[in-house]
Amino acid sequence: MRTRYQRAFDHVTASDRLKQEVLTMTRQDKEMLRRRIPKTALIAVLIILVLAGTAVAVSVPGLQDWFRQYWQEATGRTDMTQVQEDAIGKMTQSVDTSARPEGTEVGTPKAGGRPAAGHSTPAENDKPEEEPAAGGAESIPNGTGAIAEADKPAAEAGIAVTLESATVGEKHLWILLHVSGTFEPGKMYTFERSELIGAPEKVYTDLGIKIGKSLSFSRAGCQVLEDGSLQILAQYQSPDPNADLTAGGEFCLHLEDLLMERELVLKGEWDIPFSLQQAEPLPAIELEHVALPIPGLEHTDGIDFQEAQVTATGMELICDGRYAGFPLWTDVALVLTDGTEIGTSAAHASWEGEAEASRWVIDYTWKVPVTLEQAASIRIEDVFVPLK
Amino acid sequence: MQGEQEFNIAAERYLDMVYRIALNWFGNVHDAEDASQEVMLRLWKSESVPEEEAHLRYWLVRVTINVCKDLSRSLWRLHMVPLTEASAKSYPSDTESREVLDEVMHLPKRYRVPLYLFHYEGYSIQEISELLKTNPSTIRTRLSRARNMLKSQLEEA
Repeated sequence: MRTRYQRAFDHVTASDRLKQEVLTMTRQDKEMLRRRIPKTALIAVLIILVLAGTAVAVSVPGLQDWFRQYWQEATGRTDMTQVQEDAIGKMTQSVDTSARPEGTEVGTPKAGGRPAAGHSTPAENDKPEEEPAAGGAESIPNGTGAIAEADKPAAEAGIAVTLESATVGEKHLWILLHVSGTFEPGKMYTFERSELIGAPEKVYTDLGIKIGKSLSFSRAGCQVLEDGSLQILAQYQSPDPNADLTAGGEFCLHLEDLLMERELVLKGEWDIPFSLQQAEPLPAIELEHVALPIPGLEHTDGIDFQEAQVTATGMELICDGRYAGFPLWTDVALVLTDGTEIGTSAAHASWEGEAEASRWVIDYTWKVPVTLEQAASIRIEDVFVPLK
Repeated sequence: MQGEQEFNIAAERYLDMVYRIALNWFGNVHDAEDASQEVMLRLWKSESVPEEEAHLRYWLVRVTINVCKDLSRSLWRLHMVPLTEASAKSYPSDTESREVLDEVMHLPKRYRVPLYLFHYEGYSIQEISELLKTNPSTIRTRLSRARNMLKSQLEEA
């Protein structure tokens, strides 16, 4: 008699792709195999950028709506405060640059019945599998497809990806993407590969490696719009502790192969060149010598973080290099003055400079940008660190 | 490993186990896949792989745990993927199993791996303590706490 636990794990199997890769391992060069290991850390590729699109510092309703939704879920309030809305508006830049596969640039595909940006709120339910997908399911062959053109290359299907807008922090970006076509509601869509070319990389000259970083996608960040097209809120967190994305610059978002629930539904590559304008540096609260227990070793002395910096988009903790590699805390939040908490959506750690010879920097991203006027403390597991 | 055929048989037989252990360790699919591939690479490259079935299985569990530890410490591994992203093809589509896995993945990592090795792979507390280089009493405590948290999932169906 098998338990529910055992039956659940009976279903957990390595993907066909992984199996295939493993079974062809004996015929491949070892170094070629190892290149997959830093899956979220892509080696930089030098690409000539064709710059297009002019960023304009305006508040973009699409991104605001996504943040409003997250804010409501996190705080239980119906509205963001005006101060909060204004702060996000200042950090958000319209981009509106599109690409079709093979880099053919097109105009914005907003024509054709797309709803107004104000309607593009994320799904309220983060567990769509609990609700049957509404409409369109009958047209999906074998229940696995997502789009009418799923069996065609993206170029043939004419699918355009538009980078609509970006909210910019020092080391964090929120990017709102729109994908033309017809998609199945309630599914999680991601790109198999993504790279923000032009963003600062972490370079370890002594080790001879460069670390880039791909975008993060989430189920809650996918929304099929009324016309069947897809909107995706993706996040980027710089691997370089010294990065400052608010300085602006010219970038190219490289995307490959659209997946639905990790299954390939649209093969193609999109290169979206775009500019970010220089923005005002974000206000920061800086702390010194914050003592925190080491995860899993709470009985020890803990770590003295020489510096901590909290901004509207995240938090950076800096400690001595001898603590490098300790497990990151998973339960971290910014506590607001009214007691509500904004959790983190991602974290990253790396050496500040050279490996083994510099300080260790841990960077967390808040789920939503938050004005520091509302911040009271940070909570790391059970430890509260006041900010004022 | 002696030859391609032996490797392929071992990979077919044990890749899922390696992947599940890694998934329990990391709590996300990307890292679990990377670890699984590294384990299989070590299997292919190793010149001292046990031939006997049970020993080979134990060897793979040990290597998987070592690889997970190594990758956890590595420079590029130190990122956190939200658990919502862990939902993947390898996750079951039926609601009950998905709920169980969601609950399991919300347990602390130090509970997940012993739980899996004990309740799915059938290793004893002594064996798990040797594999994880942890005191048997600590393993016993972790299993007990994990069971309390997942009581209904671990009851006989």
